[in-house]
Amino acid sequence: MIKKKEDIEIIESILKGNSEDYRLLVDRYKDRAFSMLNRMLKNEFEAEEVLQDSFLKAYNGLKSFKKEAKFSTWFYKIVYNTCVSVLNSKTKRNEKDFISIDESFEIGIIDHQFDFESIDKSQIIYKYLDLLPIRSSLVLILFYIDGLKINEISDVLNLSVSNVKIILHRARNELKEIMIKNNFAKEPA
Amino acid sequence: MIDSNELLNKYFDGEISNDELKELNLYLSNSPEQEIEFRKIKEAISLFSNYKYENTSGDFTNKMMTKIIIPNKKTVDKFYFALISIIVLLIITVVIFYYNATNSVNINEISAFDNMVKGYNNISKFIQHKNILTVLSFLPISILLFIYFMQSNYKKFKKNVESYSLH
Repeated sequence: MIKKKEDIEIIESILKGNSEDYRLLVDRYKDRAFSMLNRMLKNEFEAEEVLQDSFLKAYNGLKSFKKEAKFSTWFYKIVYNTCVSVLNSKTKRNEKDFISIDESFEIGIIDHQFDFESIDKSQIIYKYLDLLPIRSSLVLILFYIDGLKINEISDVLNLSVSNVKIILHRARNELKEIMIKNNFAKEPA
Repeated sequence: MIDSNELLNKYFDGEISNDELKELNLYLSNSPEQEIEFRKIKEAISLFSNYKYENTSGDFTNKMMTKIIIPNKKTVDKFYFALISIIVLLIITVVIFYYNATNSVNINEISAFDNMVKGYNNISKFIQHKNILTVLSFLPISILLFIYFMQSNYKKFKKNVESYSLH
């Protein structure tokens, strides 16, 4: 069985001049980052554009990457910051949009309900996450899917550890409320 | 004694100690309502087991690699091309200047070319042969200093681009 190369091994190889090895990192992180961007931008085309931009920035900044850090956290930070810049410029361009980036992260349509019966149960989590504020769903995904620690999430999202904890606690409760409102919760035994 | 909500949050954050876990179990066994809430949150979290990453377009990696490798090579090539061009231009200028200073021009011959280089020749006459040699002796040092200056600026520029890309 071929041993999977660690991120740091790939980075060292790239820095030695094997630029083609960057392909391994792109393949490893493209879908994770794309999901995060799609959730923030709600547009697949834009999400892919921002993802390309983020990978370019990461490649150009590889020399400044600290080897004791995790590539995933460092890369997610680049992805998040690039996306926030895009959202900021979009907000500035659109004069009708009075909602700031921070506000739009906080707004969620939690009271909204959907036709539960018509949705595939495996797809239910995506629908629930769409009903949460963007920042809450991001924190949940980074914590439960990407396995980032709270301090790593705070680094990625430029928030304090206590703020991340508050968002995470609130997001879990909101997710539970959405689940109950949509009658998905099993009856207790 | 720790607040029950704090215990629940610590449990779900994966930061609960063994003693706190015992305390939480005791609290839940004495409070059936809270136990139901606890189970519902657990159930909500379990929905993440169905979560799958969305996929980028099929040729994303290839498109990405083309963007990464080729433009960078071009940027470096452009820099060295500009550097070499400037050095060559400098050398040509000095050679022409030296040629004009050391070759006497017949002032009686009136031609379009003479008119054009008249001003230039006046300067050449002003600078004597010995002075030109002195200037030429400083030329290699000037070129070396110029290359050093260009290289250090290029490094600084690259560093700025890298730091900008991280923010």
